[in-house]
Amino acid sequence: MKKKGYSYMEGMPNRASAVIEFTVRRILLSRSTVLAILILLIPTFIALYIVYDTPDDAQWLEAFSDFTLLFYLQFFVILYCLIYGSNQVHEEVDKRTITYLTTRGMKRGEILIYKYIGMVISVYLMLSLTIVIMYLVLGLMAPVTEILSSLDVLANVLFITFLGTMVYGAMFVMLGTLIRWPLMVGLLYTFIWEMIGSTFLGNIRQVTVMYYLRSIMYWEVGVGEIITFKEMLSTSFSIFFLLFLTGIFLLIGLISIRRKDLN
Amino acid sequence: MGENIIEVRNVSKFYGSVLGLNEITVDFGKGITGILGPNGAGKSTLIKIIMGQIKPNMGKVTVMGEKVWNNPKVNRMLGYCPEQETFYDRMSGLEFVTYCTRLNGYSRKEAMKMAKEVIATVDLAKDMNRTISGYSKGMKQRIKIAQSLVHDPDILVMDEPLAGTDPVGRIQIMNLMYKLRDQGKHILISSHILHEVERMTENIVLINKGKLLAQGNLHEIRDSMDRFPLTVRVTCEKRKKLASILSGMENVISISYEGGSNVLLVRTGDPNMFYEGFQEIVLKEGIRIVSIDCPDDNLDAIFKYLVD
Repeated sequence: MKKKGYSYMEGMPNRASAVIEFTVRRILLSRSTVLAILILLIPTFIALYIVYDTPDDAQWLEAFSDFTLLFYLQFFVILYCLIYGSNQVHEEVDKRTITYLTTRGMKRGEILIYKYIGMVISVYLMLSLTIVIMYLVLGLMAPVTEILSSLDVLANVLFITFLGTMVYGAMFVMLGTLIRWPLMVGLLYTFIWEMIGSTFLGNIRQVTVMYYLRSIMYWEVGVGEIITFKEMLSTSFSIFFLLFLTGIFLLIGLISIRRKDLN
Repeated sequence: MGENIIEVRNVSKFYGSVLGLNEITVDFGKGITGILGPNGAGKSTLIKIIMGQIKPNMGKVTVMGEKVWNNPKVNRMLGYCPEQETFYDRMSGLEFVTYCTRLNGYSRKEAMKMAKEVIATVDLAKDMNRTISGYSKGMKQRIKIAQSLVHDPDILVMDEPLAGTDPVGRIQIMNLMYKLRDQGKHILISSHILHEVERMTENIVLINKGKLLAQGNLHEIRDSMDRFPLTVRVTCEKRKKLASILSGMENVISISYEGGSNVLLVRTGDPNMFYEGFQEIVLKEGIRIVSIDCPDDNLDAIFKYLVD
């Protein structure tokens, strides 16, 4: 058999860029993206109302930290990862376009990983863009020097948001390969387990992803103590554990997609 | 590796409690091979197993000696034109084929160039920048064929490639198949429309209800079916005399006249014996035969017989 085109390894970067670019374009250029971004801006408007209603120079950063924890970390990160993550493989299977991916000299695991990367990039772009907007809008009432000196808070929030997108993204991409109704199961998981479980239940909260994200938020941004966290985990342990979870979720997803009939 | 391009060994596939394929063993050789069977026979299941999209519950499939499941090496040798008419929303023909080419590991620039070339081959160059959703059924079929050809695979697997095409489009696709065959490609074509395949190849695989009914050369299959009644059309002089003599032959089931011409339709239960005896009778009686042919010696007749 004569050799044609690139070898498997040589062609990998081109395949990766094709799938990642395709995924990013489909998420960011879809008609619903404008609506998704507008929804992400709602906390900014609420924060604006509260802060400008009771003007206080010191309040803006506190409002920013509280709102990113309350809205982004506890809600938007999970919800957006759920919507876009669970859909990645599932939509291609549903629309039967998965055929074009599985029959072109690409390992099934590659499909999952590239789609995951594309999804994380897209969701993180939406989240981080609106977080930066909130930071700048709230900072308008403070001196420029304070906005600049508080950039480390913004950086930490963006980093934690990235970690959250990574781990929840992996979880829901995995779910999309495992079950028939990933969105439904994901919603139940999100609202029952992550949101309620991480807040009200005793030690069970340690089995939620949110617990580790909030630990980092507590140490690095200084918010989250209002909820009775008796023992916050260290930042490094939390980061390590979240990375470990991401790996486990992706591994389960890889095993699942490798065994599945995809047509 | 022998002459076989694809080897399927004892393959069974269940969909829950429904049996999709039942211990099929079949070899696909060089050139064009037709996979035939009515809708729901298991053709697409067999093709999807060959393409590595679904995994058989039992058995083994190899392409050029390589296992197919999750094997990119095999996928690169294969070009697949799926039956279903599914495409990505809002993509033009060129974008679609370019994307598919990039999935084979080509850079964007190379993929674009290759896509344009192959789109021209399937005669869609004028429409390549239009969105696929605006294409006619035949155009959609051709863009699917384009994506299956673009990486220059050695083996093409076409699931109902002629479905939905108009007569002109059909001829274009058939001519393309001949051209690809002449270039040394090996082609598997599934269809439930028998005469389409018959025009393209004599190598066939017949499937029904997940079972293999027959495989091989169309005429060899026909010859191997000793008990399959065959109609022989004889155009001759003295047809009444010939009819009277033939009616005495053991293997003749019935004789009828066709219209007002000198044509006899003889139905025989044993074609080989009939031909031997017929030759002797004609020579002995000095009856001049103008022509002799078998209207039953085609795929439709064979298929009907096997399926029934």
